[in-house]
Amino acid sequence: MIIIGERVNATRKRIREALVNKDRDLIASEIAMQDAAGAHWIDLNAGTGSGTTQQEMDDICWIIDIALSCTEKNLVLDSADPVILNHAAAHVDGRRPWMLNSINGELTGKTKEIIDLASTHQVPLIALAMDAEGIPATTEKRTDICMAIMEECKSRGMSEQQVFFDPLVLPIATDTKQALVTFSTIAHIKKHLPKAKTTLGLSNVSHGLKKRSLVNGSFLIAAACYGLDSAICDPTRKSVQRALIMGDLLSDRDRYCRKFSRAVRQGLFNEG
Amino acid sequence: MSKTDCLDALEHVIVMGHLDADDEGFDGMMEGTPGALELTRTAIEEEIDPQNILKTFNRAMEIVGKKFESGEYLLPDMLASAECVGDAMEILEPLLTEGTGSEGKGKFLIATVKGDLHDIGKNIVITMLKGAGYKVIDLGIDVPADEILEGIKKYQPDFVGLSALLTTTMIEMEHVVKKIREAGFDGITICIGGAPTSEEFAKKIGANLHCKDAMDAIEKIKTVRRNIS
Repeated sequence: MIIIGERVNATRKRIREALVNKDRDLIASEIAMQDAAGAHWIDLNAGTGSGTTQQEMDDICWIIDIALSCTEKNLVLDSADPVILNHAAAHVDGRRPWMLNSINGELTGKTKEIIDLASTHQVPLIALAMDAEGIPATTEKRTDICMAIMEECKSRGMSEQQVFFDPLVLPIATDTKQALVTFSTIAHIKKHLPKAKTTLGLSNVSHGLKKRSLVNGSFLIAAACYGLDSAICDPTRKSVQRALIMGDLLSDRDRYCRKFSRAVRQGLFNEG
Repeated sequence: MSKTDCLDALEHVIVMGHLDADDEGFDGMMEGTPGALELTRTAIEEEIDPQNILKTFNRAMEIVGKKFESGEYLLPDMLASAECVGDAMEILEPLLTEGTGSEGKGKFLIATVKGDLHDIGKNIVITMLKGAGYKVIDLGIDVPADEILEGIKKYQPDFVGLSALLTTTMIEMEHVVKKIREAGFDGITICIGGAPTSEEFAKKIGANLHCKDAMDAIEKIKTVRRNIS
């Protein structure tokens, strides 16, 4: 499972505060702890939701510089604004492999600019299975959106394997079918776009419930068994680590069950 | 690398179940370093006596067996090591002359008897036997007595292994053993195994050995002198 570490996101209060206070150490430790926990990619999002474009441009460059100095891992440049992403990509300037997060099926001019950026540099791009009307409640509609996105990406010079589709998930608290809708969307993408990758954020599934980390972890294990390639998650959390290990174990991604056995030896599955 | 260093390194990678450079090994740290296949080739290039390479395989598997018994290794760890030896044997085999010395291992013909479709246990035994240096002929599952007899005529094995996992099919073993003996193959060591079988049952039907699991099979057939026909 490809792990994308989600902690450096300005929608989180402590990251927002670190941006305001220019708290370099906090950002560095957030990155380093995800690196140590096995993240393959580090997501970097500087969108506070309240600042100017110029502010976000400055902030993401500041975060990128910290990341380049404290980890060897690849970077995920995370924004919905092509201006920010273009600026961030230029700032990375080939010093590290990177990918883009994200576009959706609302194929506007902005979306196309982001696809063009990914295509120019031939880097991976995360695409969400939603459009202007939000997240569809059915597998069919989500799959249709993915197919339309793929067509647009291909027409702009991207190859199928560079697109990471996030099938998305709606809270099961309000509609108990929704975890299954996500699983079958993964299966559909695998069938119709076999070279494309799938990735998934976890936390929405458990919105409004108790024991959320247990729900999220179980959801991740099941999604792995439907062929999920990647998770956007917090790899420093024990519940996530356990689920990643179990997901790989049960989906033929753990040769000789070694990752599982090592995790057992290291005490990951001990109580407490 | 000296010859001793080369064989020590080979022993180590087998114990770690490190097949080749693409494999991560038991500790997950070995990717990119030479594994059992690379080091077996190196050993051959260094003109190390093939018999010494074979002895290294055996030494490694003995260590693995102990680690399994102590609980340090789980079943898949042991299988990883056995597969290393099984695959490395394919490289080494052409260099080993038939029946050289008392170390020469035998041919083992194995089958799940008629009416029984289980093969997980049988396949573990096969992997371990290959790992221990035996040549294995697998006739598969649901194999009628006549087919087993034909296999014996064709391959002239030293050992025949019969597997059954059901109380209803283990009766078939008696029939197979009887047929083998009636056909005059008295020198063949017949081993039986499978959950419902026992030492007493083996004795009753005239089989030579009862093996309770793959490690037990390896231990017991080691004690049998190879039948050279």
